Amino acid sequence: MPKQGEYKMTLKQLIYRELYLSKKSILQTLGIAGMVYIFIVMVLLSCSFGNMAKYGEPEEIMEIRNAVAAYLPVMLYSIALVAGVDAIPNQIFADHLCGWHKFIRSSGVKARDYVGAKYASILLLFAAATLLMTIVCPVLFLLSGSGKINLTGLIIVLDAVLFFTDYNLPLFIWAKSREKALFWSTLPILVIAVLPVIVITVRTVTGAAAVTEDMYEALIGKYSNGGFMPAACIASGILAALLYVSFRLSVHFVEVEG
Amino acid sequence: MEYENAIEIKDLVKRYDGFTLDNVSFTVPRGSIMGFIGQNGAGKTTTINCLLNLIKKDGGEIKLLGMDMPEKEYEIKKYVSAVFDELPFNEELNANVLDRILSGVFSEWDHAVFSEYLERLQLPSKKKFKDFSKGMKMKLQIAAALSHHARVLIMDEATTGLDPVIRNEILDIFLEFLQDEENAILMSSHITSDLEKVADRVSFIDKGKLLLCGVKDDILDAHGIMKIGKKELEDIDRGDYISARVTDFGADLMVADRAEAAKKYSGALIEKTTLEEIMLFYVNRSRTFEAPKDSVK
Repeated sequence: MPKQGEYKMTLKQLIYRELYLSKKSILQTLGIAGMVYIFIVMVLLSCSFGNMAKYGEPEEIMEIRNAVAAYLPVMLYSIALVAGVDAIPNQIFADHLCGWHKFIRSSGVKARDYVGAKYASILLLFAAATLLMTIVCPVLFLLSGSGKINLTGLIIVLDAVLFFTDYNLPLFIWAKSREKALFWSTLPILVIAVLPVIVITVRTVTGAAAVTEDMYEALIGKYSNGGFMPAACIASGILAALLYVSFRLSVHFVEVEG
Repeated sequence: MEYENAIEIKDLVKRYDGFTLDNVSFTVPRGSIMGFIGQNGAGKTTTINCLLNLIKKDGGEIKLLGMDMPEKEYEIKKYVSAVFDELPFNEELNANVLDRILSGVFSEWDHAVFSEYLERLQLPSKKKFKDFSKGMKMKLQIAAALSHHARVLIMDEATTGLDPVIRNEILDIFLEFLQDEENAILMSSHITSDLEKVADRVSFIDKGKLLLCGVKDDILDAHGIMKIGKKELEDIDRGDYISARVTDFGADLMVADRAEAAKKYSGALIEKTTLEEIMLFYVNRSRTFEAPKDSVK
């Protein structure tokens, strides 16, 4: 049996492979995130020292600063995390196309190492994105002055990414065909996107507009005041724990389906 | 490790809907090349996949290097290399990066040997694989297969589609590999001329059944093509030939025992045959088939 050190070596080089092959996608994502960041900084600088500061209404400037501080870091974090969510599962298809999964199994690499490298790579990308946010966001908050940090938003983004990792990796390994995987992968996004349309339709048909409007206002208010923070944190914990279930499922699919 | 046979397969069974690998048995002694021939869908890849435990067998025993598969799978695979018909490495990689990745995959990976092979086979180390020709990709796969001190090389249609110059270059490397008598090669191929050149033993599989297995020279010596007139075909006992090929000028019969046939049908012309002809006649066993017009000699 291979020694413990050999497993670590295998995992390390397989992670290196995943990250090397995701390089292009990561760099593209970083480029987009970088441009968004520069835009945010320019808006905030304009609010403090530029034309906005000179000619804008103080209340208006405050509103812009608050909005920028509250929402744009969330957007920035989403962009940074997309690299991992998108690139690594897509690599599974490339592996199937070139026969890497077959080669790796014929070479005596265990399914848990092959799959483990994919999960570890995604987690590393999450960690890198979070670290990057920790470095760049204080600048935004300093520039925004009174802007509030929207931690709830950031945690919800992390929840969404964890959900798609839990769901996508076993799905992509199981599906084998790109079309099949993309269909099932897109389904939750479609449901989330269609939900507001259904709510609006129900409101119109039932005449419950006032009730749902109040509910909507209440939800936004609760969100802005950080009321969803405990729920978002609990969801993170559950989704992080589900990563293990997702990992075991992926290993099972590789072992059974090849 | 002590073993006489590098590969031992006994009564291997694998069942699919509409196809069964039916009690396949053969051995590959150390220091030899076994040519594994058969048509597409005959069961070659299924046998190789079972051998590598890429699919679960339904019955039978497999031993590699004297160790049981799948019980000792990870120990065995340290000393086994598989070469497939397509490059299994992502085309965005280059040889330098591959070197680093495979050092994690194979515990016995040897950077120096890999570099030597790259140089010898004139493979660029910084060029992406997507810019490699088919021949270069195959040479790269073989370089990778031989750079971790494997004892057994298992090749699935690896030389298919390569030009004769590259095929010869690769066959030379195999013969060099076999200079160490601990090593062995199982080589599945359609190209029987390659196997005639390098194989010591041959196994022929058709529709999941092993029809022939043995020393290549013995098989070639024993078999022959008996050339007779069309009318004489009815005078030949059906049990004396594998199948008959009818041409415009007469009939060719494949006989499995040339000496016996020469004795029984004295005066009949019995020519030596090739692995390709043997394969063709066995595939059409138990029937008379017509030769394509342009293939009649």
